[in-house]
Amino acid sequence: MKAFSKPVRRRRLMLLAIVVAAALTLQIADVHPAVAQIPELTAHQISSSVALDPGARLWTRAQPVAMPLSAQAGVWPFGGGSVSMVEVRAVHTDTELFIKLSWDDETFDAKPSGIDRFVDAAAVEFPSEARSSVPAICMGQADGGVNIWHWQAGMSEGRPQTIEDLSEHGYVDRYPSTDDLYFPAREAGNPVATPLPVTDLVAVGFGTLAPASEQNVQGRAEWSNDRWEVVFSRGLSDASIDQIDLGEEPSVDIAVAVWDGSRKERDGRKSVSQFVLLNVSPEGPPRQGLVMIGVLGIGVIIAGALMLQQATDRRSLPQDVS
Amino acid sequence: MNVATGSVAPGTAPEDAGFSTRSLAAMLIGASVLELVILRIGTRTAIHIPGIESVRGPYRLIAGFGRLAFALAVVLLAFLLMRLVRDLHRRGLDYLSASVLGFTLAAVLARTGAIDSGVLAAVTIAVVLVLMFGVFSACDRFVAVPIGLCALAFAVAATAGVLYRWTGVLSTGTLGWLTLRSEELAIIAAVVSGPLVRRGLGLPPIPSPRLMWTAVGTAVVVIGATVANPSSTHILMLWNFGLTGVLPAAVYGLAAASLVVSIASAARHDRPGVAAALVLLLLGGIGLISTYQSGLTIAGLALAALPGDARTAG
Repeated sequence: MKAFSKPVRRRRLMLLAIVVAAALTLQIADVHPAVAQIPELTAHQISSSVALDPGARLWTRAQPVAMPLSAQAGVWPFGGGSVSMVEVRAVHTDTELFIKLSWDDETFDAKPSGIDRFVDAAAVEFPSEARSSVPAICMGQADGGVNIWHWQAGMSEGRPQTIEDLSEHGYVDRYPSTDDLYFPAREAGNPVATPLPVTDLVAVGFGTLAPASEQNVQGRAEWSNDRWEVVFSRGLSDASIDQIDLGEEPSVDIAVAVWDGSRKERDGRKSVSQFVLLNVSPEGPPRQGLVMIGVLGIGVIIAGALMLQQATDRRSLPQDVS
Repeated sequence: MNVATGSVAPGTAPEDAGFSTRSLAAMLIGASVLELVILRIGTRTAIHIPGIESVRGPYRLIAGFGRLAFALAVVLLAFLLMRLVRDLHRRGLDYLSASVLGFTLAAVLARTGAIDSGVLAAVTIAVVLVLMFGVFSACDRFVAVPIGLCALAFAVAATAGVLYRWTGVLSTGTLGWLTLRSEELAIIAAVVSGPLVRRGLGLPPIPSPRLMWTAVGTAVVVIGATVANPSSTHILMLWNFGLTGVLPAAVYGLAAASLVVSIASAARHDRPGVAAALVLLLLGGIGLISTYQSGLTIAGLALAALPGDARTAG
């Protein structure tokens, strides 16, 4: 046990008081002195639209964020997790936001040609409204809904219209008409039967997933070299009451999910990420890769030189025996 | 009984200068562990529990306490980093002192927006690498290996992320491969830390029964958490420690048990600096998460790089 003199005790108490006062000040003032170093997705401004083209060269200037995925384990049916990582990039023009997802997938699954066949799919999720706390990532919660953009493979050209579209071996001797009247879901406006590449959905908890009041999200996808590239697009301020207004919020949380149809992933069986921050920046894409490598290299070189000097000094001086 | 006096050995900090480096590190660890348990684990889990709004009052109280612990940890970290700058300078290790000061300045400048996240990342990685060499210079090799491997894992994960994000020279697959390698490095560091630290301290390889049971209990808890709720545990591991959780649960259990042995052995046998360094490295995690967690890692490495540990580190 240590015993300290009165001045030492007083000084220590004073320092402790300063530490606590500084901490309380930070908390009361709601100041966060630390800076996040995890990747944040930044949508830099571009002058010309990438026009839903996954192969547009402009995408190479958008900083990628690799989002790790894991199996969905929040609610039945559990499972998925076959895709471990998805690359996300984002850019925006004055009026539109573009988000591109890409991930490795060896199989092209675009036709649900049987009861045990499922299509590849992807989704991005936002809170329906900006709040200080993020909603539950699994379909949101009663006081904090989510807005989901859901893309399914094979829908860029519209949903299959006939049995033959679904399967080349398919045959049907009824339903002679292709008129919507003979397809009750389509006639009734069921969004599942509506030929949209991306369905705009909203949810406020498990079992509440429903189409948004407006379907204003566009999408296009390409599959090549065992890799999917999917681009989503929506007007920045083109939001209805249940959708996130991207024009008003410079920062919004975003999460992604991916389904691999050949692994029988559908519904809750999927690979999901956690939320990361999407910043809608008014600045153009940065060109700082070389600058950063330069800083890192210079730091290492200086450190190496100093260490060499230190080693030299140590050899030339008698050892400190204190 | 040690009684503080005004006389100190050459090159050591005056005892009456307030809290010693060791005391500051201990207080930082206390605040940081509280913050980890309440904020980084507790509220991050609770926010996803349906109906948490019905216990809004107690939840906010606990979360407020966690935020206070975080604020305390940040202030203590700033004090500790400044103390380490001074201690390293007084021991003639100016390159290490300048490195810690460089990181602190970069973190402050990044907070004010004067430098961007890319430069901050580069500075952080460079400082970690420099301190890693400093650890190998200051510590005996048995103690330096696990700490150095932790630093290397941090640097590999951070560098992979930087190269991927800012230069485009890495594909997503390569980033994933490097991230996994960095995790394996960190796990290897943790697994070997127990035997190596005990060897470095001249202790028998088998710890006391009490410590052994504590380590086994820790392993059981870690394996249980990883197996019982893999999704939540993996996400918490990723967010808090930069670990993907893809290795077998038993590996994480073994790593945790070995860390408990190494930390307890160092703390009980006159090497509190090494024990504090290991705890701070654990709290800091692998790779770039925030300047706070990078600061914990850098403080841990700088503590380990201080020659003399208990005798001279305060």
